[in-house]
Amino acid sequence: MTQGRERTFLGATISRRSMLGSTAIFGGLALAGCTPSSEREVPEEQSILAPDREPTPPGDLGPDAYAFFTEEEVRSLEAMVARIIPGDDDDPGALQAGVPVYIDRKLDMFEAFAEPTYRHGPFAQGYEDGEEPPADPESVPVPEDQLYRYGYQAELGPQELYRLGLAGVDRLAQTRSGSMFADLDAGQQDELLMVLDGVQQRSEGGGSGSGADPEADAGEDTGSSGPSESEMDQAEDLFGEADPGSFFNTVRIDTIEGMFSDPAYGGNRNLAGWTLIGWPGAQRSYSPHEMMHGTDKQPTSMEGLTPMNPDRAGGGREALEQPREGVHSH
Amino acid sequence: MRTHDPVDIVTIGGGMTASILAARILPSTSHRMVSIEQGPAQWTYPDFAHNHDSLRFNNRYALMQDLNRSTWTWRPNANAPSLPYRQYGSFHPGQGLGGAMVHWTALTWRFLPDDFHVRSVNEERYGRDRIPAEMTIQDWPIGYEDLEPYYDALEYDMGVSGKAGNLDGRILPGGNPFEGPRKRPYPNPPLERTAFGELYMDACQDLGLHPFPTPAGILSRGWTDPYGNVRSACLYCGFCTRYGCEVGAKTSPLTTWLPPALATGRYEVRTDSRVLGIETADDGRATGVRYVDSRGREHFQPAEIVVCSAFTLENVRNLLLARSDAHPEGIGNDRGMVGRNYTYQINQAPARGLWRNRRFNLFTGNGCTNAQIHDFNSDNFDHSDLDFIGGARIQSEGGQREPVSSIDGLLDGFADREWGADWKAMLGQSWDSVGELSYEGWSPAYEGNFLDLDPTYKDEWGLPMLRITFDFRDNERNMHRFLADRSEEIVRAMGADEVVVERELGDYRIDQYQSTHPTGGAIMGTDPGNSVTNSYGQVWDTPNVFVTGAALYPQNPGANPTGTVGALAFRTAEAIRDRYLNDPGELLV
Repeated sequence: MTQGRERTFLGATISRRSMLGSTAIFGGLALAGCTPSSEREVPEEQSILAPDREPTPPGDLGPDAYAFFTEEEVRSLEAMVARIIPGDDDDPGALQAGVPVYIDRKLDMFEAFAEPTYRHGPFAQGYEDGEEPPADPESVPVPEDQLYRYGYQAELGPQELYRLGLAGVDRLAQTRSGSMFADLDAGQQDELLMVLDGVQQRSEGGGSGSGADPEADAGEDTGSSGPSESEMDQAEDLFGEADPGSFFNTVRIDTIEGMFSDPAYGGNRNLAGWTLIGWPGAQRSYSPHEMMHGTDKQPTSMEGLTPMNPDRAGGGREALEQPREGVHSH
Repeated sequence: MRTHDPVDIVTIGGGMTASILAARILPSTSHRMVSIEQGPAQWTYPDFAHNHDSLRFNNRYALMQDLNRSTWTWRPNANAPSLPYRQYGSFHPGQGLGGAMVHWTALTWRFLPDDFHVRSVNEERYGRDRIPAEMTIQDWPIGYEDLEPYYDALEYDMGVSGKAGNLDGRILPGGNPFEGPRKRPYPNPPLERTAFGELYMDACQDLGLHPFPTPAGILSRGWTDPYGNVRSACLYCGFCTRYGCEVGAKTSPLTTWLPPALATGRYEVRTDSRVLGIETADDGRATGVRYVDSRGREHFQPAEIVVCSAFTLENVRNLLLARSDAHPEGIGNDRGMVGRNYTYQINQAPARGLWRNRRFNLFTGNGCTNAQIHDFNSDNFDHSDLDFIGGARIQSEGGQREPVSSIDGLLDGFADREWGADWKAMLGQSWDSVGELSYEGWSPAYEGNFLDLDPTYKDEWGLPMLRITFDFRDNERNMHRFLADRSEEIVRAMGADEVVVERELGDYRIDQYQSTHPTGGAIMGTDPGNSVTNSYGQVWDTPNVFVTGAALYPQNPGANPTGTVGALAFRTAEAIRDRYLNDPGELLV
């Protein structure tokens, strides 16, 4: 939250620095090789560069500086993502791929959500069986066990969720083990995260962790008991306004995004994520042979994507020159 | 408020059906048409030239409507509270020039002949008592044979890629033997398949089923369409659903109908403009639409005909919002028919497999580089001893897998949990070694599933949002169990090393994507007592208002709706052009 807010899109505010940064990065790239020769109406090239249609840029902070998180929060966040996708220099995980920086940039750029989100009240108020609260114009009472069906209904935005959630993780670590989350050993950290994961599953009426499936004949029954109800209740008490389950799930999903999205967004350094799973990334085409038998193409970021050139043979100038007159904004 | 010069036709929305009306009505006439589109202008080039950004298009929904300004509310039943659909989940209405057809997956079906007579067919074959009292399914006012010429024209406009299964009554090997008879084969051969689609084809054949390549609105080879648009073939790049096509191989209004419509000089699309209401005269006739531009200025566009050609949900909402002395409950709603027979499309992946040390190249291709069976769709199989009616198409996973939208949930059931060192190692080995079978099931209509205006939530312009009341019933739950068993048989025949089966459908949840196929709510029928419109989408109680799109479906069959949306729009366009405009204000028969 270090920059002045300039314009609003999708309910989010985008900083001027972000806009300038991204133009610099993508300006020369998207349309290199495009040399329209026709005198006829030529499309507005900059529409691809419009600030409301582009990725979060890394900005000018340097790859390891943080814009949103405090030092203390960074310690907890780094420790968390390092358990979600563990790694080391030989087998990079979330830390090595720059996931915390990805999350920091996302929270800095979008005051609210990166995706379209309806954020006006009244908001849902969950209640347990038989305890329906009296009518209230400010909130909508919903049975607690039905809430998950409605999807995202929280009043908290992601910035607040991260602030409260990271503080909650440390409070829970202190209460359980007497030290901050980052100072626990890996086993203790995993146990704590399993409590948060368990809260998320419990809210959907499910088992005690992501991935659990009663009907799978895959894998083996690990026999591990999972977190207890009282451990999950304790987490909910200590997290206060933030829900520990949705906080954990948000960090888990953001970790996946940061590990596997284009490096333009600040994570997936050296294409670590794509190399791990064998995804060739941004490619213009695959042949039928590649679809059946695989490809030798190496992971490529958007920056390495061959530019479109409508003047090349078969490059689509005819499509470019289709009539456009008659389509306009007031 | 600025009042514009009157035009013959104004449409709410600048998507698929609006562009079809313009391309079919304007070139051979002197009529004028205006579309009011809430999203921006967008073109194949340059807007989609560099769009291989999965975070922006998949996870951040760059081409979808802005939920912050207006959304829809949902509740599972009429006794439950409704809450807004705050973030994208169950369905993805698009915005911008070309509408949702810009980001669609492009499966292009003709509905099966039985689908148009679903109540009669089931009553005749299984008896009246097989249809639950609450199930309000009804026959369409037209049959497959009425639509065949329009399906045919649509497929040649779009250059659909596929393999015919029934050419004029002759069953052809390799196609869908259950399809209705077609006059011509598909204009282009089927798309290529990934290794996974090929494995599915082989396994289905071994099981005695009838697999066939997915009919796709994506070109398998270069194509010059009837309007003279020259288009290139699919490059199988792997960025398709939720993206605009950078080479125009995926058919949309941008590639096909906008060029001939705009070339007349008598078609105008006003972008970044949001319709606030349909205005009516004292006699109840619609006079035009009121809308607001991106700078907040109000406009009125008078027109002889008003067409609701936005997304299903907004079409129903615009009818309900058009309340006046002549139509106190809204246009089309003089007999309380608007909102009735709201249906959806059950899209589930009940069986998934993991093949050790095998890669399927599922990151290539698109959502149609796969294969289908219709053996368990509609009434293609005997339901005598089953506890449900209707069915679904079953398909193998297509292609276009990319990490940020695929990884969460991919190893659900295969891994103990979806984080940590074991999961990471499994992901590294198996990201391209797991695949799913999914089905696209029919959605019967029920009295308790309907659309109306929400009493609490309003959009940015102060207008009530549409409220969806919807949940699954026993017919769907029983159908799911049956389809899960069939899917498991196939995935095992495909030789999976590990299999995960979801036996139970579970409750409808609006946060989980199934399909952008909300249908019904302004259904067509044989008379004003059972429907909102006639078979042309012409509103019974307001004959100069037409509805296009899937809101017209009395119920939704087990196939994607777009092909029939297109065929119906062709038929409506022809009727408006050749008959209605010669005798405005009269009901078409």
